[in-house]
Amino acid sequence: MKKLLPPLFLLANIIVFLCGCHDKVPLEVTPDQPAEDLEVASLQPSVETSLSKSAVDTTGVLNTEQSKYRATMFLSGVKYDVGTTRQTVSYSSVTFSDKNLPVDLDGRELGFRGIDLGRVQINGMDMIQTQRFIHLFDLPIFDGRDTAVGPAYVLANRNGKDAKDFNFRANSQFEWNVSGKIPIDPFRVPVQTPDEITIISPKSTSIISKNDDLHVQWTGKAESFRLIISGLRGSDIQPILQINLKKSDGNITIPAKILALLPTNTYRTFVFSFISSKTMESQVSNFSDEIFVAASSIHDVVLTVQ
Amino acid sequence: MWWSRLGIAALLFPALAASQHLSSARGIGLAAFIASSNDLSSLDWNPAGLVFVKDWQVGATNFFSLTTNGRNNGLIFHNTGIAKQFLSNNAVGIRYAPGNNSQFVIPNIFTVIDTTSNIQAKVDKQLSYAEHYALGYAFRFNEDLSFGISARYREEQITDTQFFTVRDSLTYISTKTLSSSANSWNLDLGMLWELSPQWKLGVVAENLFKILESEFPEDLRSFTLDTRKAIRSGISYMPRKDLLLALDISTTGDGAAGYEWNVWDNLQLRQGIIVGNTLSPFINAATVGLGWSAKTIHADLAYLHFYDRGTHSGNVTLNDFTSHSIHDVEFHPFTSDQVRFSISVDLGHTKEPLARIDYVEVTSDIYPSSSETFAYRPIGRVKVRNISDQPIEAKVGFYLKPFMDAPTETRRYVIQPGAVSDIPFIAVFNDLIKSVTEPQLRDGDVYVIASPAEEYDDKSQARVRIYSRNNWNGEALTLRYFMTPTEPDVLRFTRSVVSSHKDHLNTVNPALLKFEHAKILFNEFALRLSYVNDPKLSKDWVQYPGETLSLHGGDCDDMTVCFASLLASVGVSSAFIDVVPPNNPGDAHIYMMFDTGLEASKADVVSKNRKRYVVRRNQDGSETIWIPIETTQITKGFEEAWATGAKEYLDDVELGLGLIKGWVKIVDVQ
Repeated sequence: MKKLLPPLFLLANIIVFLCGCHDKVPLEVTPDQPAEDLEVASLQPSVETSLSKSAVDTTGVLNTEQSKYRATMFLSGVKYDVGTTRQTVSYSSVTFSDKNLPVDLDGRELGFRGIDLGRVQINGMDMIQTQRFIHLFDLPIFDGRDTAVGPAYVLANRNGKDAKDFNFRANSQFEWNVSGKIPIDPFRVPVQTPDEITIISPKSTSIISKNDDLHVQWTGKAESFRLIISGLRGSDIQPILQINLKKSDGNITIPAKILALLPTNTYRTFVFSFISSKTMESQVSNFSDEIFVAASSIHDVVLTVQ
Repeated sequence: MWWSRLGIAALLFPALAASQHLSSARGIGLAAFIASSNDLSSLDWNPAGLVFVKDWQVGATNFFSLTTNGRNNGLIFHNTGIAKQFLSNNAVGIRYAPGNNSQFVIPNIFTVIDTTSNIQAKVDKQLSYAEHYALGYAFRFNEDLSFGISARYREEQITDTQFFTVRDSLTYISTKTLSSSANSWNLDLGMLWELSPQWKLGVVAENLFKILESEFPEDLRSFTLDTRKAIRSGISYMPRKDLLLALDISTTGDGAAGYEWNVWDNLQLRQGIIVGNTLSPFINAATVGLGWSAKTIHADLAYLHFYDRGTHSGNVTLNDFTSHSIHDVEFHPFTSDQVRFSISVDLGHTKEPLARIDYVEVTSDIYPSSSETFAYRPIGRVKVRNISDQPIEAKVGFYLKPFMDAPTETRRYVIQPGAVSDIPFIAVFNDLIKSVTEPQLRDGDVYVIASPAEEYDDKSQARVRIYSRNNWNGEALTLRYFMTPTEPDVLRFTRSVVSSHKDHLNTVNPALLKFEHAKILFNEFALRLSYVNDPKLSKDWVQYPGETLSLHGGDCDDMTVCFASLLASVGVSSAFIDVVPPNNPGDAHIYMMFDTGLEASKADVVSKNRKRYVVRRNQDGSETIWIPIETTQITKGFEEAWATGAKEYLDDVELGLGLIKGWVKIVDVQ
């Protein structure tokens, strides 16, 4: 029996081996923030002959979103940090387009003609009627000219200049008062502004690496909070990435893998537009389409990404 | 002194710390295993310990983790290995450990939503660290010192999910998976030093050398396992054979302490703690283990428990993961509680040497003509030392080729632990030895075979009767054992008698002093004692002299023994005369005679009657005069007793020829 013990225990070794044929389960690290808190989408490049250049850094609304509506009413308070300089802008625009009056060129639809709304006020302040232009850069026969396609209404207070009495206030009620002009009847559209967003980090002077995570901190509560990263060349900005943030506790980490999507070969500086918006759709009589209304608090931070 | 060597060692290797290895349940149970490792797990703990493998050793370890997140995956095979000792002082070992790995899945912290599809790449990275293969070699420099080297093959792998923008007719985000690996060989050097039978010191230089096969790309290099070079040292102490205390410390500021207690035959209990400045909390973990061993088979069970229930519970956040560094494949801040089970078997020649030949001396040259004498006359001697801790039986064999057909072996000698025995050995030569024509020198083999000395091979019971102290078997030869000449009562009696007759004795012829002593003592003996029958109605009951004196009487045996003791206490030799008449054995009788010390030629001084004394040779070989005494005539005084005794002797010995015929025996008692 004693001589059998070693072989028996060899057999036991083998049995132990066979019994232990489960695989070790990897340790799954729990993310500090759920993946759903951060949604990333690439943005289709803006067509240069669009009705307008991208103004997401001012309006907080993408051209692609805006283009879905024939009428838009925007109100935004913008902080724009470039280097150590901060510009503040209170901005409002109202644009109604007539879908029965398209602007096209050789079959290519460029937009719709604007509608004269008469007198437009916001909180009792008259908005300035301006002409909208289409940029025809890619049509040589036009030699880079623009063409006017109807009125739009704008009111802007840039660093206390221009409409210096027009000031965006967070968490406040604003109201557009449109006197109307045939065929548009007079109407009013109220809007509640969101809490003011102020980015604490990153600072505008920062040079960030797209190989490192970007930790963002801000103040202000936002029901809807998103970041639009746009490439900046001169005064033109090209929205590239949209990041929807579902956190409202004032900080989030943007992984390096998101930043790696930025075309640093094409752009050196990028505008990070942090946008808190309250949006709604409204309707008025004698205008069949819905009006896209957005009140936004925007903080634009220009960063160098390497 | 060994402790001075320890001090020197401490100077050379300042306080060191030890990381843990989880390849052996015994090592886990003890926690501090650097100085105690002596099996296959030495590949991890201290490669120098491989030298203690007896011949072959195979082993295997399984384990299961205890996590609180429900992700326990049953019994997992950890490792198996084999080790071999060769050329007495060398050993190698090799191990395959598929369970020696850690894998981490780092989730993505964002969701990609696109116009083309809703991409949700859930995993950001998958990290895998493994040391599946290890091999080692150890060398025993001398009885106390051994060195070893081990090499562990580390495989690190990262699978990274990368995102990129596709700019086609539409712009969208796509993913791809990139795998990178970083492999290396990591070498440890170890030393084990037995300072004394109780103290052992072990030192290991961990990851002393690293042979890089491949490495991660630069952007992922931060995920490389931080392989730290460290010096780890351990010390073990056995205050008793059944208790082992151990302590490990490391240059990384970590350490461990533990004990192993042989609570029962072959059953060991182990407990340990793991501590460290770099660990949180300081007492990071506790271990407990059981071990069972039976000669060649060893089974061990151990439980490892971490006090910090945060990262060790199986629930680890990304922040936890990035804020803790990992230096070891298996033992790191995310290791969970676990139970390990190990089995190992020693195969081949596993017998521990019990004896050692200290010295061989050949005491005689061999002359072929008288070669037969060496079959019974030793040809030499061997000093055999018992090097075990138990008694052994050893026999020595001698073999001289080609002059012996087979080794000649001695009988078995029992040698106590640590003792040395001189064993003479013999030799039985064959006929070839007689054909030697020229003197020659030859080397003979001398060997010792030892085995534990068993107390008995078999056991039975036998009923024996033990008689009382006064029982006598009736043989005159054994009657003398009842004599107590130095008993205090006897001495007191004789001293007082002699003292009271001092004046008389001073006037006696010195040649007759013994005679006078005997006479005085007998008369005093007669005054105080009387003849009585045996109280137990048994012939075989004898009183000791002290009893006879206190009882003031006895039968012939008692009186004879008592008087002989009295005489012996004053230096007078005596002899018992045992008579068993052939015609009437029931009348068996004992009387005595005493040696006067007188030369036979001076017998007239004692008596002119030749029949009243006996001339016989005393124990010195001299012929002296002996006086027969019948002690039962005690009441009639010395003269009567002498006369009766002389007559009995005449009748029994000289006339009856009892001595010659054998029915009279004379037994010298002093």
